[in-house]
Amino acid sequence: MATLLGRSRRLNRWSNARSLLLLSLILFTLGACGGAAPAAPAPTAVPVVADATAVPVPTTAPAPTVPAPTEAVATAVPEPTTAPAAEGGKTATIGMVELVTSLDPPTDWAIAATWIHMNIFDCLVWRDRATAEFTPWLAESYENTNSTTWRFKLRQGVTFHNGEPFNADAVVWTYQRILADDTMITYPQWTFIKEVTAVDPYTVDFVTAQPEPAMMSKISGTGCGIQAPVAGKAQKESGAEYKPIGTGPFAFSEWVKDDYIKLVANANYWQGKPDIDNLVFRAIPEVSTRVASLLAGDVDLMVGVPKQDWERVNANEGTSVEEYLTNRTLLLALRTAPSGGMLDWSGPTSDPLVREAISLAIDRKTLIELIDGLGIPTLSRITPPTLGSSDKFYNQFGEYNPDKARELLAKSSYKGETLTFHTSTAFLYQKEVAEAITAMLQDVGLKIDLQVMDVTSFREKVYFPNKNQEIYMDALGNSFFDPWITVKEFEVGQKQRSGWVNPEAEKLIAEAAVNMDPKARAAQYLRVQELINEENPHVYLYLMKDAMGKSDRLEFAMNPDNFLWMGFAKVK
Amino acid sequence: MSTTEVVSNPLKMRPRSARQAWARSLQRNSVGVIGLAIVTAVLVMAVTAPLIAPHDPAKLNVRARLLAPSWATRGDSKYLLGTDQLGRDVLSRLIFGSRVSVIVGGLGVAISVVVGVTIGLVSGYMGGRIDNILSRAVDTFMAIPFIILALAAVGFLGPSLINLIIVLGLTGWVTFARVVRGEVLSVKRLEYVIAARTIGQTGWRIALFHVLPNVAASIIVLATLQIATVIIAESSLSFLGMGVQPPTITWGVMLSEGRNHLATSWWLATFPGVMISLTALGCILLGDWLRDALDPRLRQG
Amino acid sequence: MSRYITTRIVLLIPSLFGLSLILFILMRVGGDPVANLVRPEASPEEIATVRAAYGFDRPLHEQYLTSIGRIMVGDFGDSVRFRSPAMPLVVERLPATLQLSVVAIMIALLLAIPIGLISALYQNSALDVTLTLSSTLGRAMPNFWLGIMLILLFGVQLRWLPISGTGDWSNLVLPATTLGIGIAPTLTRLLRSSMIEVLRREYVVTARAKGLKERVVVLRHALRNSLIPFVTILGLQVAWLLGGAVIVEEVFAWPGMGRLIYRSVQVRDLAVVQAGVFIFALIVMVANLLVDLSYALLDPRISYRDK
Repeated sequence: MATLLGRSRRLNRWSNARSLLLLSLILFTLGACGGAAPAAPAPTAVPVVADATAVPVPTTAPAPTVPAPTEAVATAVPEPTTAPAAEGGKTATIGMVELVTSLDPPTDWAIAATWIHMNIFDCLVWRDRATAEFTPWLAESYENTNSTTWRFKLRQGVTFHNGEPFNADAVVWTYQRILADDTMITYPQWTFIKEVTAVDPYTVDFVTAQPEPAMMSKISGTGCGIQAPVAGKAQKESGAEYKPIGTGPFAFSEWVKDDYIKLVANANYWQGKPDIDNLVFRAIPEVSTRVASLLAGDVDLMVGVPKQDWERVNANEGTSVEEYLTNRTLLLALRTAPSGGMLDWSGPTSDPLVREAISLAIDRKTLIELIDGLGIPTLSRITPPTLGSSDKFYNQFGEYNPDKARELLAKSSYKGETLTFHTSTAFLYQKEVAEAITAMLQDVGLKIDLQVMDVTSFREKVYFPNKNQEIYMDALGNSFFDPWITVKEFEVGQKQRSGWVNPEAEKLIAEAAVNMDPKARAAQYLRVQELINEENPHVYLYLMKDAMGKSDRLEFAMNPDNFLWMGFAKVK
Repeated sequence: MSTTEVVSNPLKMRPRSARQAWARSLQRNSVGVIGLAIVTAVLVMAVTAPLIAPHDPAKLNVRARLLAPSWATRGDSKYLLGTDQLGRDVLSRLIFGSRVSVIVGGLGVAISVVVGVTIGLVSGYMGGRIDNILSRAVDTFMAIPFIILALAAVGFLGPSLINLIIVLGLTGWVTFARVVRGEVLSVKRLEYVIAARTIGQTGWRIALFHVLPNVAASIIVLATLQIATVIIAESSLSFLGMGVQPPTITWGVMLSEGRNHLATSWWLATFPGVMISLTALGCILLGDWLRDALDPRLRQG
Repeated sequence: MSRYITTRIVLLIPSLFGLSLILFILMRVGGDPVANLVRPEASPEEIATVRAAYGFDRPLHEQYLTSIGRIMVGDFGDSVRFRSPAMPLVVERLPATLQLSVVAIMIALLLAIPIGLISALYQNSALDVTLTLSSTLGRAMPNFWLGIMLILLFGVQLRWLPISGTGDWSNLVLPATTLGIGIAPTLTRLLRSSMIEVLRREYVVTARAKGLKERVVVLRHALRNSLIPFVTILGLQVAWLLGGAVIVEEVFAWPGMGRLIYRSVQVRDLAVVQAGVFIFALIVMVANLLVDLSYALLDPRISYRDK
């Protein structure tokens, strides 16, 4: 090292010590310049558990009008109280791939985030995930008073974790808050609400912009969790850090980012105090580590058990695997015309014969075998229990006929051009399925350039700039259980990726969006599915299954789509 | 800097019979022989891949998925090292994978050497402000874990094989620059270089014909070690989901895909893991031996 | 002395600006953070709204200059992933990574010093070859693979140690060992060769000739003099160690900075990456400074008074 000079024999220990001190000072000053206190490096926990003494508004006599928040703020802001009394009680730990980026439901739409949010927050209605029917929840009843107005009667005597009463004001606050902020990721899905007003303390009216057949689906969509209004307004005004305060079975206790989120039982839960005292969600991104943690008893429940580990988890004493259906359909999207970021595109898939050949070349039986049976073959994204789903498309392998595909290609305009096939690796088996499909398409004589990329690169290079070329693969979900979202990309003005223009389909989609007659609406979507299968802008592959691993310690009736709501779960 | 110290000016004090000394050091250093043997074997495998692979490495066979190695229980005699999750022959994939490892390792390091040596030469030879700026750049790169930089860069460029080689090459040049600069600084003061300058040779001629040969030994040693680093880095990037993507076959991809089967289909991760480790081990041992052999201080006696 | 340190820190500043430019180009020009902030169904208008809300619609040079201006006054900006200031997110993770790294270094030393000593004393013996081979293997194995195998052995088979996450000291054993095994070989090899060299030197020969016990000769004279290159390499290993921490933290779900930066790179969360890399660079630099300073302690002939 050039700066090391061996000239002096004197060793000045004092000078060394002083410099070290200086150095550490500099290090800490720099480290702290983002504003964090260097003296408290450990992430701090902020318990916000209910305490009877912290009730901001008298619960016995609900104010007839909206409580004036600005006056109340100074005194009524529920202070974080002492640690939960249940400390040391029964704990259940759930091993997740990833936790949330925000505890504020409308700002994080990832399904895993929703699972966590919904343990803290309740919505107006509960969606039965097996039947797609609705159960009254924070709303006791609801009615459609005219084609655009919906009246909800609210449950009485429910309180938030901080003691605030649940009432019409809370509902109005929750939705107006979303509608006032167009940067929230779920904002676009809430704009169907034109107005939300409190009729009386326990009645709320929603007015929609147009007749809304999917009202109930949408009102229970991501971000529907009802938030405490007084605390929320105070937080917004002071600019303080957001704190999740809902009416759900668990109250927020602690969040160490990317490590764990700890919730504690809500003793005053309106459906009774949960059996689990401490509910911990832990992030364990590496799947083999997650499985190992379940086997070793470090977690009681884990999401995403790969098929190859099922036998191991089932053989292990005290753990077992439970399989469930997701609402994601894996599909190939074929570009039919120039649009979006590809205005000068002219590829072979603009020829309907080539698209049909692609659809015929795909052997779904082999694919299902390849994914260890973790999927149900489908020719549509509308799958049960969603309105408009049909046995005609669901649980169908479709026609696999490579000879016919070759014939069609010979008749078509295809002259050996290369088809670009983009896919990400976001989902289990996606890479393997893409490789298998490439082989199937090559088998019928198509030239395929498979381009696999990580999910962010896929989004920023292909998906959002709409630079998808002939084929891309994606798995799309339908957490609304309503058909409108599955055909949204074929609406007029939304064709940046497919370019598919079909006047009949466009007309049907537009009509179905405002059709209040479920039967007629289902028929309209059925016809749209037929048209998609005739012209193949999408080639659907299968509805994905997944599995979770569970310890026998935990009694938990799983929802069909593994919605991790732990309000009624028990631990031994 | 430490590396500079260990391998400084090895050619300057070469004994008369260099070949004898090398042979002697190799004889004495059995570990070096192992390294040389491994590296040679991998090179041979890469060159002869199409001849020695028993199957088509890309041929899918869904009905022959996850078969155990032929010699293991429940193995299939057709597949010596078993098959992977798409029913492809693991042995053939390993053999073809060696090509990518050799290419990534070789070309990646070649880029590092070219960039690093150029910057080192310029920095050491020009001195002054240019040296200052370049040294700062070197310090900065030294201070960032290179996997982070590689991740960001692969995200930017897209995960193709070419891009991976470029990224690994461009993130690994610093060591070379540092060592070469140090060597240049000391060589610059040698009499014959000063003499060359006085007879009117240009700076570049001096750098190329007088300075470069003097640092060649250090570069070779470092390059050998760097190949190991690059091969391991390739697999780490695959683990983090930013590595080479299909249809390219690499050991890193095989290992990172196989890791989820480690407890059930152990052969998927174990063989590519062993190949990566062995190759990296071979390179490190070879590099160590070269260092010993080229370093006069360790060679005496 | 303190001037020497100050100079080095001041010199780091321009480098960090260069670095922030590289990161900016990679993540803003090449990447698009908005891609992770909207739903797949998002229409171009929705995307434009979000882009404008985060200020990503402004000219790139303007965005860069603003962010540099802020960094000058210590504000690294907000994380787009967590919608909160970036630096506290990083600082919050710092202790976990430091803990992991320090324990990993200790484990590496515990492995490297005895192995290096024995190898040097029994140079070229079968024992030496075996030790060299097996320890080098630690560096040659991709550490995620090693980590997963350690989990399967000690976590699942034997159930001796917890597998993932934080808790008490036992949670640290597996990740730190994985990381330590990765850097031990470099230290071992270096200690071995510098010991061999030192043992041939005159003063060691003299000490032996004087009839000092072999143990005293080795430990007091030879080992101490081998420590300077050893410490140098240790300093250089810090950058490597932090890189390895990215992977080890991911395998063991250890909530450190490495994992945070990795996730932030994935979703193009530039502010966090910049803040994290800045802290990483600072740690590496401080470690190397400490190495330089320790020379003076190890070798009384070295002092920094002149520079």
